[in-house]
Amino acid sequence: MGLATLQELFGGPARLVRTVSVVGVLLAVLGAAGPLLFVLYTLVPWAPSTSASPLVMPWSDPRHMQALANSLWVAGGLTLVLTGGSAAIALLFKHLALTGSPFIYALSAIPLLIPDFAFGVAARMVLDPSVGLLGQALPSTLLIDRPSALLAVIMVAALKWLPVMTVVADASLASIPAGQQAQILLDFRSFGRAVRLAYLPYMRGELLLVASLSFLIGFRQHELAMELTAGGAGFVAELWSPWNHRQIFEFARLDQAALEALFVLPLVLGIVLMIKSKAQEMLRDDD
Amino acid sequence: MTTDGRRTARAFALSVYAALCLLVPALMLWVGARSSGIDLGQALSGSVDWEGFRRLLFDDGQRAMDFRRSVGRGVLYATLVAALSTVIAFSFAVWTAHWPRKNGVGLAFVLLTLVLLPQTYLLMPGLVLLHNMPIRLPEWLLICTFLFIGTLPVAAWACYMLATPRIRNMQQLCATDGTILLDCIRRTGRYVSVELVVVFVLAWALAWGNFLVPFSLGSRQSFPAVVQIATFTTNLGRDWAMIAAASFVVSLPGVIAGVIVGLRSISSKA
Repeated sequence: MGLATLQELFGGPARLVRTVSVVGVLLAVLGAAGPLLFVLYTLVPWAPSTSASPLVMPWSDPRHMQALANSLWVAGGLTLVLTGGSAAIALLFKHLALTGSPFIYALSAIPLLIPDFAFGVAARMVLDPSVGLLGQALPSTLLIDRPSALLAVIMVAALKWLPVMTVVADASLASIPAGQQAQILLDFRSFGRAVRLAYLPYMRGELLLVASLSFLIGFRQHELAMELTAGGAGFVAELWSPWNHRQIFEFARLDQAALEALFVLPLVLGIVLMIKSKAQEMLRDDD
Repeated sequence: MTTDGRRTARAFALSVYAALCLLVPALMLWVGARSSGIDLGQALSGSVDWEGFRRLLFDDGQRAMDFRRSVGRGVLYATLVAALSTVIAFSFAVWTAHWPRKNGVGLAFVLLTLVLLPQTYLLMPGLVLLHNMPIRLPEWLLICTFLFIGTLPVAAWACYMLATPRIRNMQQLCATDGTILLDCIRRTGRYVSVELVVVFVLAWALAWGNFLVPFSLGSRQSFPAVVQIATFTTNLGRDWAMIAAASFVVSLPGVIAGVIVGLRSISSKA
């Protein structure tokens, strides 16, 4: 049976609620469409130029491409760590009969709500080769060399996001109906076989969601990475977001930053569409 | 595995997980409680005298006073942003409550994903507007506006996910009773008040912890606490005890919010 809309239930006054909501959605979309709007704006003849030097194509600027590659590495690495880590922890909780524990859910919200900057500061206190608590035990180039600096960013970002991703993975196991759960216990005497043949296939949708969100979270890393590595030696480990921010505020190249953001947008929007289709697919049976 | 063995394994797993989740605030508290020093390792070998916290909360120095003011400012920004975000998120949930669930969730997820774009995407349209504005907006208004745009999608997503089924039920009830929309919204608001508190807390914590927006659009006079931490640097280097103490203070609302959200999830389970 179809559900009545707000307008059908309450008539004309429902328009106000719709207007407020549409304005909210538009604001959110405008936030993301900024670079596109800006590039379009720079094309109109009366627009004042924001910088003296001409635009450089994003793919022909080596520093931009290196920052993009670094961010893609962090995004990919974080996707692997968070997807694999959250699945492993959720399965461990399942093995120990802790799935759906409210205590775990309560704990998991804490790191999510602590600012990224505080995570960066904490990581620096531990990992900095000159002042850090583990500084003497770690290589002196840890936060300077590209591979190790990027790895450090991935691990610290994972520390922040792993608990909440674990909740998503755990919730998928908690949602297995009781009858089905009993059948799995009957069918598989070994937990390993149950994981391979029942639990992991059941978690597939949620893990894809975790992977998509992790990719976006990795790609947007900014203040945590800046605080921890400051871009590495000679900016070899600089990420895309700090680079884009630098273009705007340090080099006053707003138009160049917009062009680069536009260049990257299809990649990011591809992930957005994947998340949307996945969420709709997961909920197809609900209607 | 025996029952005792399983119980031990469970307690061990929960302890490790709790340590993982509480690692950062605990580290900040530990470092902030120690003597100050440019070399963190040396400073930590000193005694626990709570010097960092004492200086942060009671010192007459410029930086400590700036930080205390910035805490008040940050609270004000976050409260304004969270209140407005919660109202619009509630309106969004009321509007979409009767959509087919997959459409509502699809839109909510798109909104959530927009928040996960690099924040320079959010800053760009604002800067374009600023360049071309005939009047200069106050920094606090600018910061609040952009924090609001960044926080709104999360609030809308959370409100939709948490409150939609109850909102839908209440609306059906109101329509059956013949209640007018305004009264119905009031009744619905009371009915989902716990969910709205969770949304408000989440939005508050997000606005409070945002570094990049106030850092990019504000100045020392308008920075909230999270940005002010970056100023604890002397000619000799960083003042780690103050940074740790300030970071702990900044993390505290997140921890409290986590506990509130957690208690809410526990009570809804019960």
